[in-house]
Amino acid sequence: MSDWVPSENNPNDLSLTTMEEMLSDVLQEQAFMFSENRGDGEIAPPDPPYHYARIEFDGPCSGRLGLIFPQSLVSELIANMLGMEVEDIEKEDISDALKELLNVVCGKFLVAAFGPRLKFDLSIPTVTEIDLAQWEQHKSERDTTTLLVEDEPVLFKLGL
Amino acid sequence: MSYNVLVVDDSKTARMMLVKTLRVSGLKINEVFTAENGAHALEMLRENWIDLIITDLHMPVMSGMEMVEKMAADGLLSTLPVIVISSDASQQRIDELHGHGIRDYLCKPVRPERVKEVVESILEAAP
Repeated sequence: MSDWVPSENNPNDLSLTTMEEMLSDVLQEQAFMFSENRGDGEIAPPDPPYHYARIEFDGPCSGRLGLIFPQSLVSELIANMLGMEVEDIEKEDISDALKELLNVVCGKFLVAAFGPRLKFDLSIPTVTEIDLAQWEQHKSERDTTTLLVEDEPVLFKLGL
Repeated sequence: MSYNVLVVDDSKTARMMLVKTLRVSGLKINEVFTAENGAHALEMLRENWIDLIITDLHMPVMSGMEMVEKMAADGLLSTLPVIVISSDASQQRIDELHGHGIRDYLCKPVRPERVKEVVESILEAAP
C-alpha cells in the first residue's frame, strides 16, 4: 500500500485540469519540458526507482498534491532547471529540486483554482524514493493522473 | 552603476535559479551573494556591501520575516530594500508583507523581465 490516503471527495475535473495546466506551465518555463495528458491508454512503467514528492496545503480548504517522477526523467529535468550537466547532479540535488518544483506548482495551482484573495499554508514538501510496486499502487489510485513529459510517464496526485 | 544582490533561500535549486534569472535579466549586476537562511544573510550583510536583498519567507534557523525584523532594528540595515520571493501568491499574504516594510513581492516562478522591472523600480528610485 502507498502512504497516500485517497480523499473522500474526488477533485472535480476543473481542479484536475487546472493542476495539469499549472504543472505543464512550470515544467515548460523552468525545465523547457513539454507534457501532455496520456488519456486512458496503457503505457509500460519506466525502470525504477521513482521519486515521490508531496506537499499538503491548509486554508479555506485543505488537500495534498503529489508528483512521482521516474529516475530516467528526473536527471534531465533537474539538469534543465539548474543549467547543469546530468553527470554533475548529486542525490541531494534531486530531492531539493523536486521539493522546489512541487512548491511552485502548488502555489500556482492554489491561486489559479481558488483565486488570489484566499490564503493557504503550505507544508514543507517531502521526497521519498519508491519502487515499482509502489508506482503501480499509486497509478491505480483514483486521484492519480498520468501525464507524459517528454514521452516519459509522470504521475500526479491531487486530493481535496 | 552596477549592484550587489543577496539571494536568501534554503533551497539550493531556488538560489541557483534566481541567480541565473538575475544574470540573464539585463540588470547591471556586479555580484550575487547567496545565503541559506536569515541568520546566514545577516552575517553576509555585515561582511559585504549589498544593495538589495531578495529573500524567501519560510526557512529553517531564521525565516525571511525574522530577518527583516532584525534588519529594521539595526540602524545600518534598516533602509536596505528587501524583496520577497515565494510560491505563496495570495493577495492577503502580499498585503501583510507590505505592512512589514517589504518593498515588493515576486511570485515563483519568476521571469527575468519581471525581476528586472521590480529591481530597477526600487534601485533607480533610491536616493
